[in-house]
Amino acid sequence: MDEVVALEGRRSGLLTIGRPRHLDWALWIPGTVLVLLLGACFLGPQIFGVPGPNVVNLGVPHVGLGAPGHLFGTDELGRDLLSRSLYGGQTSFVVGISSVAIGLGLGGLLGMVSGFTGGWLDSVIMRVLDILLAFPSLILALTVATYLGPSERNVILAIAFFTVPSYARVARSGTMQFKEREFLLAGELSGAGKTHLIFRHVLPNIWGRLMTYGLLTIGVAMIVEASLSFLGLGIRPPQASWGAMIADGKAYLTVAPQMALVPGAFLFVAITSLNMLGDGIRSRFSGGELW
Amino acid sequence: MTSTEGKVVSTVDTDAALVLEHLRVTFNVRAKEVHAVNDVSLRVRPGKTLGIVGESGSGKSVTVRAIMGLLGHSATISGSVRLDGEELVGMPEDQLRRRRGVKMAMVFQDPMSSLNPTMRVGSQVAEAVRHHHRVGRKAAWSTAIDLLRSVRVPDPERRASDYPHQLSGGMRQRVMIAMALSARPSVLFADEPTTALDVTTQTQILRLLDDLKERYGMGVVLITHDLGIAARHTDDLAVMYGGRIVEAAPTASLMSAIRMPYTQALMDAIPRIDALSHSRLASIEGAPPDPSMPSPGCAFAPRCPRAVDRCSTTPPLTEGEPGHRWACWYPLGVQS
Amino acid sequence: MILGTVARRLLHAIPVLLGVSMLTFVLLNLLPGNVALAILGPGATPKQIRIVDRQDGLTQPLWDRYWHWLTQAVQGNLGDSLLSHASVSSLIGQAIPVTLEVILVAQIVALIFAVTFALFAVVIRNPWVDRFLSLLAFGGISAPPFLFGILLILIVSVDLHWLPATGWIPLTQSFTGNLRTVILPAATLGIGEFAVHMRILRGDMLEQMREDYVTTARAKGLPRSRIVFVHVLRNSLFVLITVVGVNIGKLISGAVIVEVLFALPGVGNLLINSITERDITVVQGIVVFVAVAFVVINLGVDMLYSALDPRIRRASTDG
Repeated sequence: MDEVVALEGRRSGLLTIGRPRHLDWALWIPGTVLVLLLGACFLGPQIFGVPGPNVVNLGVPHVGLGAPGHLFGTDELGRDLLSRSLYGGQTSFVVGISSVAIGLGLGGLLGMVSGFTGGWLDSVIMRVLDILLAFPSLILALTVATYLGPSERNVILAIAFFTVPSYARVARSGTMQFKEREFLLAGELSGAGKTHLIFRHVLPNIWGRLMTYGLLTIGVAMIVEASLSFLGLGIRPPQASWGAMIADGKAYLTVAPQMALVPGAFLFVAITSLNMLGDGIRSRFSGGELW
Repeated sequence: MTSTEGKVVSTVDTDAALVLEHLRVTFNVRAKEVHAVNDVSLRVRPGKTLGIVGESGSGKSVTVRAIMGLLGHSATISGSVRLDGEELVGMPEDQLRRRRGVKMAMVFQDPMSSLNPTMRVGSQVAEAVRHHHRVGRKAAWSTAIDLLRSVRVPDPERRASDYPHQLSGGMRQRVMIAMALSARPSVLFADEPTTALDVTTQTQILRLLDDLKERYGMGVVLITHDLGIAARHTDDLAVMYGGRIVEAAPTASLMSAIRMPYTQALMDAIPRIDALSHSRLASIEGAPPDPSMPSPGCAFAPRCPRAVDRCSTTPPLTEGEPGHRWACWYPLGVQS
Repeated sequence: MILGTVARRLLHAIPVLLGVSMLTFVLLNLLPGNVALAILGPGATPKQIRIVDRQDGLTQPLWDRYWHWLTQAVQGNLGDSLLSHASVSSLIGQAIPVTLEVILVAQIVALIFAVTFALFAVVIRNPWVDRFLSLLAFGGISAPPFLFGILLILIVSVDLHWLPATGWIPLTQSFTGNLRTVILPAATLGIGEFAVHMRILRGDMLEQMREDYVTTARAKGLPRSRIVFVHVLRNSLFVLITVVGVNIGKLISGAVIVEVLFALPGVGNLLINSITERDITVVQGIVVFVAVAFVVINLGVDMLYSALDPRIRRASTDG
């Protein structure tokens, strides 16, 4: 038995097709696409010299794809869709990354404290987080966004809010595994402070895991942002955001489908690359698939 | 345990349930060929047990899985395997499949993982029954219960409705055996069937196999790393090392005159009842050869206390005495 | 024994549900912007606002209002809409069949397709089929539901004129009419579900194929089709049930978007409209209702799982 396993295990697998070989391009292709997209969104407007995202030109409404001066066409107010998509991308990425950063920071801290301290504090923190997990994610974000009112900052907070429990769980389980190791107990006995132990010993050990998980959730955060904006509860016009642009375009599907399709394509490419990248990283480090 | 059987080995093929001739198994691992089994010739007699003994990686499991056709696409099999006179090498998968479970069956090492965890054990036995005989659900179920009874599962009507995790290791292995017996195969392969069990249960299972082979006249191939078990429960023995047979003979004559130093090392490594269980082969120094990195010469030479320069060329497997084959330049107890 | 587990799980759910209702209540009642102002419109005088405030009990302390609301809510009374004065329960009651139908159709169709495709991939063992399905799954997982919806509307409604882009005809009114209005929303909602389920199921079946019991089944001489359909699929379905449970939150979130996109008179649309109109009692009622439903469904899935899986069934009766 064991020799068969040894031999079969080393192959790419009888049944899975070529995983080790496709790992590399599974990281490089989405990574490159993502870098290009980020570059285009944040540097593109200056480099290409596109019109401003809010420059209204009522003389050229609903111009189709490939029109002179408007590569991706214009919307009902004659605003350039390429320009709006690039600026909208800035919004999406900023919201996605900063909400994950906030959620990760808060959740990570809560999880570490909870897992490290244990006892009643751990129970209280985890029960409270269970309450947040009892909401479907969008519903919680909707409620928080309603409470805070629509703005970019508030969308970031609303999304960060609902991601806290999952980061906390990741951090907590990592901390608890770490805590079981003997040298930490030795450190505790020697009288080092808890804060010191958490930041100098626990954090460096679960850092990689938290960052990987964070990367994986940026795509989710961006989808929630787009959904909130699509529902009119996220980014407010005239500020561009992919979700809000798609919502705008919904009303003009018959006359100007590009209004929804152009930002839609940007959003799709961004999320797909993020997911593929996350999946590639995940299977490289843990051998499992993301979903 | 009868030594008079020795001469039967050298008679014609028609006596044998299973005959291997020059069996080779090559794995294609990352565009590299790995020879897992090299030039193995063996025969299994009806109603008798052939023991294949060796460490992990010796190629014993691969040999049996190659015969069963369980190796998958990465394996290339050449040579000849004749089961009841029928050539299996090169047989289309679909036809080979029809012989699995019917003419040849197999019992595996870990009966827990080898049984489907979410299916009642009775259904798993009945499934085998229904697959081999065109019978209804009810008939198959009662046949399954009969089979469970024949492998001495107590209260088989009740046990049949249990799930694997509800049974003890020994009971699970009995279920595996019942399943394998469902079509009265000519040959039963038992791949380390008792390694996962405690000592008392081991003996019970091995005795059960002894009884069954006599009752049904089927040939049994018992794979084990424990020469002690093999000595007690086999009629013929083959010792494998590095994908080759290094010594083979009727059990009694082999045990009375071990020729190959590796077999002697296995002998010295037999776990004692009073020793820690599963301290397998702790006394053989060094590691078995890696089949993906073959070195020329006798594979055992690096670990052999008797190795000399000549051992860097591969010794052929020759019949040094009637019915006793070994592959060694300097066999034990033989004046050269 | 199983009943004991159920009771224990229910007991665990109660504090969570209390917390859910409290959080929702506090968040929504601390909303910036005056409710009375929203009801009366921008031209209201301070006196009118005070009257409305008193009528709706908005001047009482938050804790008293929560307690009052909670005691009513457990009796099924979620209060009245601040704007239309209809009871929130009846509003939800009217909207829920639409939401349920869309979710159920989407989930069932997605599961059927997911199982079929995953089985196909595992049985056929073709690298190109695998690659195609992987890409399909990635696409399905990566696109937010409104993107598919818009594409579907563009192709099926705008270009082909096959199905209406928006609107809803209840099942009680016309079967074919209902079918015509449910297809696009359900497809929109279902594609993501399909992708997730197909991917998980396929992955798990491939894992299962490497298990020892599959080797046993092969050694029995069973044909590959029977091994895949009877042994492997059966064991992988347990994983699928878990995934369905985990994904219910996503499904509910997706339903909100789909209802808005296709202008369906479901709970999600009601929620979004109430949010824009600042009809707090309705928002509050819906959010709590959805969260409770979510918790209960998850509980149900867990129960189902432990009732079906003999390995767990044993564990729960033991302890």
